[in-house]
Amino acid sequence: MNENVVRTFGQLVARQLPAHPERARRLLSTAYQFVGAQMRYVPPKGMLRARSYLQGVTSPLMAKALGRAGQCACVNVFMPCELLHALDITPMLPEGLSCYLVSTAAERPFIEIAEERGVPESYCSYHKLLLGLAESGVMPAPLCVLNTSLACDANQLTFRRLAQHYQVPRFTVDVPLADSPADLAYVAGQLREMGAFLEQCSGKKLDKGKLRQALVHSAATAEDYRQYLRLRAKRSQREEMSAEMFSMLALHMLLGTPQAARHAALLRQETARLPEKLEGRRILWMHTLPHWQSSMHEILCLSGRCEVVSCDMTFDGLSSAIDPDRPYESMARRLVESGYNGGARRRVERALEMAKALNCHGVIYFCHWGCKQTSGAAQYAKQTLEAAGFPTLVLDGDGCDSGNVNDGQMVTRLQAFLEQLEGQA
Amino acid sequence: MSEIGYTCKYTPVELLRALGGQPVLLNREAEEFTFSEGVTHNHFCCHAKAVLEHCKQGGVRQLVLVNCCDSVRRTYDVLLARGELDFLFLLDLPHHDGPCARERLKAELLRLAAEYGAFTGVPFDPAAFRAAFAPPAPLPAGPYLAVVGARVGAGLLEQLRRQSPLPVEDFTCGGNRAAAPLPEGEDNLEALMDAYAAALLGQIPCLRMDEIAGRQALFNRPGLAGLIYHTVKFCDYYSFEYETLRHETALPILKIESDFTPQPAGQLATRLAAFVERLGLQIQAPAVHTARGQYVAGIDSGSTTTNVVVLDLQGNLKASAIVRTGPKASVGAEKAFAALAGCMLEDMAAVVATGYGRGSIPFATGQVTEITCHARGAHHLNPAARTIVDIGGQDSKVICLDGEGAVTNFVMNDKCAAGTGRFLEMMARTLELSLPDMSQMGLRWQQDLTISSMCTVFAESEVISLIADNHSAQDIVHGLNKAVASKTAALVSRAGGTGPYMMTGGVARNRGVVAALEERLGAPLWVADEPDLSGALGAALFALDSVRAEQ
Repeated sequence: MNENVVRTFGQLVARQLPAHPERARRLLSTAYQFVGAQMRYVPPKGMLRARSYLQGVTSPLMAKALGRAGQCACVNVFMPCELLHALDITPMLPEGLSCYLVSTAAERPFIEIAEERGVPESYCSYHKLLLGLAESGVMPAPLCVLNTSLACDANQLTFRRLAQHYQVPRFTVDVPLADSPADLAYVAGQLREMGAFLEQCSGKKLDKGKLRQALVHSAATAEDYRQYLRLRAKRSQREEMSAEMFSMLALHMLLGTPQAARHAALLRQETARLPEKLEGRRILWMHTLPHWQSSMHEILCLSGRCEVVSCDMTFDGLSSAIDPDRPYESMARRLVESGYNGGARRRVERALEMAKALNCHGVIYFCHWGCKQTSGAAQYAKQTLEAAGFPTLVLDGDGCDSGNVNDGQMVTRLQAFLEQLEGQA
Repeated sequence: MSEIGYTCKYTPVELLRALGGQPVLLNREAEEFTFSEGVTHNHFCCHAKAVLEHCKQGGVRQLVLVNCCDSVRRTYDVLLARGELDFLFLLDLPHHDGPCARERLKAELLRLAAEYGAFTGVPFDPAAFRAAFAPPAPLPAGPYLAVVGARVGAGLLEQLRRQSPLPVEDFTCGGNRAAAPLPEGEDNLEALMDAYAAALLGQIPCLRMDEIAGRQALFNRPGLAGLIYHTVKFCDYYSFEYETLRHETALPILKIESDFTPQPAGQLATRLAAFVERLGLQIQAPAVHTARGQYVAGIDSGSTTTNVVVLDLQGNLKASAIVRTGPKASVGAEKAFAALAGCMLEDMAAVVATGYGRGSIPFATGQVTEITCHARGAHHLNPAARTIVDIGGQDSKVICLDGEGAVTNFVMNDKCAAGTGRFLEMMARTLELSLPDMSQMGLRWQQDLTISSMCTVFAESEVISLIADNHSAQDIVHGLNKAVASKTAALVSRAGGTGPYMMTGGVARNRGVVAALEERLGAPLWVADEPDLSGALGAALFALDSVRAEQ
């Protein structure tokens, strides 16, 4: 969409915010419905069907999150959502909603509202944005709040405050660092309790058959995505910067739905049709992508010099086995075995394996503002990946708040890194 | 016995002691973060960075960390990869405190007992373990203050204790440790670790635990007269509790943030003294000058300017002056006096100093913090004002008053210069404008630009980009004014400020900033003719009080 239109829309939302939060909500909700319809009926030229299909699925969900109160369960990225899908409760992911907000250039007033209410400036901007959305009155109350302790402290803080703000029940799944059978049983036990908690919140009865079916969809999605990655290792594809972020939604919040399975299947099929040919420098991305930043988009997606082949937030749970007959253990395994659990070594090792498997030339380690678990391991990751032969750029930025970004410096760093990679060709 | 470092109150120090270790709380500030930022990142918890510095300097060879937060986990990862310590262990503390969590913590304690026992070679002795439980130190008998929130550096705690008229207790997540002695029962390792897990989880929870209702017990302790709420830069946990607490607690509360480097004494002293003044504990009447003068003076020794106000003994304004402070506060004060027409130091019955340099004015007969002085001066000038926004050279503050002019709450900016006079000065230099020109220009804008960076350095590069994009200076200045207004409005909101509003300090002369802030607040700001003199006026009024009290 035209940048000026987006900016004008963002200003319109901001103007409504102080006195008429419900108007701001309707504006955003309508915009997301519109984007959803556009993706379904007139998808942008050159975009893979898998991508437009997924955006056609997620956009109405974001609109729904801004619709009537009590419709959605607010979840964090790593929360397994098969239980929600089996109970027909829509999950709402703050990072997802934050990404949508920043795409409509409407983020700044929400961030200011959160900071005015004592949210520290050094806090993760995705979470800050969500709190601003909630406390400005724009986001309606969810049915309940669910979070895992994985992968960061912000889950504990944001979701507790959300539950207090809305006075709705909350459930936390505590994920231990290790992955022994006892740790697995500890998490599976909590997920069983969460099932009962959700039954109580929603007044619905959990159907074991539906839960099993959700896990069948999860297994199919994971298998197709793994195959897609194998195909992608030998193929190039120019994509939007948001592509990996949407896949992240499919492999987390939407995992367990037929829509996520269809996305992964389409991705596999369309990639298989591409010629076996590698072009430009291939980059593995770690952490979220600043998809709002046109300068980054220009270099990473339009310049033809490079492509982001994959992002470690998409494949963090792909290696765990899924047994639909043991749904709780399967979900628990995805958590304890996640690439984001168990210390920096595991996360970096998984990235390294993927960088090799995908024939990458280098890695960009994105230090999203406020993410201490990422920033704390930045130098360790850089040293380890470089020792294994993958030049690594630690890139400081922000996934959704331009206020924390020095755009010119980021451009210089990214271009210098590409020059470095091209020099090695 | 060998020293073993720890940082968290959930650390099983009794077990370590029983296995031959000598647990030492790592809470020392670091002089610099060169090493730690080199192995992590500059946007990383300052306490964690201080721990890394401490390890690097060889201050600790053995370390037990608890999976407290993202930063401690990464500290462990970095230390593990470097492999320089003799013993390193990460205890995975559950977020829950129920039976399943207790079972998990027991397993972790058994793992630690095995690993540390093997390291020290000391066999586990149930009697030694039981003997390692020390009763908690008793709380002061009389009223006391408590530092709560995130762990506090040893230097900062000592400074607070030195400057406070009341005892100061450490109730932070590093200091508030109280594992209850274990009940009598079976003395095998398994049973003891089970009971120990329950005792550790039974402590007053820290913010990182899932269920935190038990924290109320911290704030209901008898004798607790006020809270000093401490947060650490780049640790987010405790700002959340502070936000709730400041609305709910009846206790007076002072918020401070540190970055685990030695604190500059000035701002902390100002904040603590103002807090103590607010508690009504130590508003000492300034000592009266021995000379029998006909006037009193207030000197506000600020970072940029030194302002002086002279009153006669009836409280009428006799003279005032504003001069640049320069590098030495005492010289600035002398210059300010020299600039007064017709008033000599010998004519003063009392001189009260306020501002950063208040402790360095040799001829002052008393000192009062600028918070209290600004409040006093502002209330004198405009008794209707309930919220004073004061933006000076390197500080911005918001002070809330009651109908009598007493301070009910105040907040100050942190070390960062964003939103202060210094920020505007730097931007004026970038734009090659004088401050008076900048003041007017911000009113004549046409395009509504937004400077989104709050960091002074980032904002400067944003301004340079806007200049390069041919935006007019008027529009850029308006964008900067909005940035200052946004930062200040956040402070007003944090302080819980309500109208009528008044603005003091040098930046109140900037009409563009005043207009932008009025728009943000949705209310007018009352500005005195000489807005920079409010603090000095308040100090002069305190000096007058002291003279009248003597009479």
